[in-house]
Amino acid sequence: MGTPSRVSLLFVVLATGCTGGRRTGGGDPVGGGGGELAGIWDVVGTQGERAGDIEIGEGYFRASFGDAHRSQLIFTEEGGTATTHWSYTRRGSPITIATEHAARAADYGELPLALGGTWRWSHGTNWCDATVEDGAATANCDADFGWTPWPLPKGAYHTGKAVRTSRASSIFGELGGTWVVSYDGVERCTATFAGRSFTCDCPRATSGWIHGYVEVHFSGDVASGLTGDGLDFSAIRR
Amino acid sequence: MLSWRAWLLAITSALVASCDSTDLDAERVSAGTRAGPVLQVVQHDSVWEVEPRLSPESLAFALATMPDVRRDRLTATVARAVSGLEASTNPFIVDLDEAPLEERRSDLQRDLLPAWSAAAALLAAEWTSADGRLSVRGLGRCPAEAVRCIRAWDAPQNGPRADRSARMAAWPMTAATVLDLPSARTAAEVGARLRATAHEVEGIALVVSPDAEPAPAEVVSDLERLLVSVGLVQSREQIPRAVPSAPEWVDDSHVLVVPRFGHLARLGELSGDLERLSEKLRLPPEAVLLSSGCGFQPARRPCGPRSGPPARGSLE
Repeated sequence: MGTPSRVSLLFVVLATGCTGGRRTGGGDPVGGGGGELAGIWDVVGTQGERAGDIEIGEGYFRASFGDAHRSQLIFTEEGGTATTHWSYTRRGSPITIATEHAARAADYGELPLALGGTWRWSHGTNWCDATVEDGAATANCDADFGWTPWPLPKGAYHTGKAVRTSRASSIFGELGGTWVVSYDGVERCTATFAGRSFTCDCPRATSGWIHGYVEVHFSGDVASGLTGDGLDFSAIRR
Repeated sequence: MLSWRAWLLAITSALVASCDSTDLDAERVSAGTRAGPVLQVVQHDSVWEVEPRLSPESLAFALATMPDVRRDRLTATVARAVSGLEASTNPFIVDLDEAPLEERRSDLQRDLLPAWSAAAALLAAEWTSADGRLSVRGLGRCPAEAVRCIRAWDAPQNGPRADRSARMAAWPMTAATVLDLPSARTAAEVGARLRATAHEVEGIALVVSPDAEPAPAEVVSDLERLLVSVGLVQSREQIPRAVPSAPEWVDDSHVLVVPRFGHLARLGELSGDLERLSEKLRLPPEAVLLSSGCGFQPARRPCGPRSGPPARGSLE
């Protein structure tokens, strides 16, 4: 996988890992976020190459990356119905992942997406359950949704949890603070949402899972960040 | 005598007051009518692809202009990786450092890529906007009336989004802090002092000045081998032993401090860090801050881009 896809995937991981709640089925506002990060973000990689773009809106998230949008993740939630599509053009037809979401009222600051509550994603015999609460999140997966590029795991057969160990003021609202992430019973990552930044360090991750260090900063219509192995990236909102 | 801090503050205040609105017509620059470099901007109907930039020439430039301490660390990383490489191919050599190839590659990337990618971007003949719809060239002056140019070191403030995209594409030019010194010799002295202390500021990738010297030949030679063996480049290419020329819009009397690409959302912090660094350096009073970077950030960010002809002030 080339650098562009890697960079875009970093954003996908960050965005999916950090997006927060505001509205869910039935139209009831469940979060207090202002949604200032909404928009289409063009992501550029280390060599100035276009890596892809990410669109964030109320109840909508799309990440497209790779040449000619080779891989794409689309999540929508409207009128109480949530849907997730994942496609990779080299590996057959796009798959639709059945998504159930019981939202929990939460304030994720500038992120306009719902994250809090309980989730279930399923496709055939594959499934993944998650809960996102104030200060804690858990996930339990037995799934392989087909090809998943780096840094996402090839298959997810894990039990994981994240526990906030300290609070901090953050544009990500309720997520603000430092989180210790463990899976399969071992503490592997420390993630921090503070100010306009997100950092994640996974020094003890196992091969095939997210590992290493990444940080992202937001300033108006510009975001930028870097990884522990020297890859830089930036994004500008259209 | 104004301190750099006071001088930046004054300019920033003036800018915030005077540059809130900028329209396309006001941004048009006629050939040779204004000082300072320009960005020639061309809009495309379809997506304009950019060529990969990492080249042997940009690597030589990076090695010559990266902060001294970071070059020393890179040299140590290269030596460590080379010894591991030799041990893996020679049964009579025992490598006491048993780090796997993947870890050595990661270390090499960590120490090399930020400067290399910044140098590659700086030396690029053309940049492309993030959405692929604009191509941008940095020039000393606008080549013709019919060509659309915008001033590189002016504040975009709340101007058209397309201009901000163009400025961001040209980030090595617009986000660089640019000092003008009375002579090339003075610029070389200031450049050397900045390069010796630049590691104290996290976001600095390069310090470009006339004194930049090539990396030691053995380091360059080792890198030529290593880049292929760890898979950072496809085939072995010769890295120039001389320092490639800076872009034409960089004068011999200029010192450029180029940030890391990954710091573009933190230029305000970088500006503050540079202020603090400058207080430790004895810069000549004739030094002029031509641009303090942040060329695509909104006015509310404390970056202090200038507007109009360069103001003159003294630096402590």
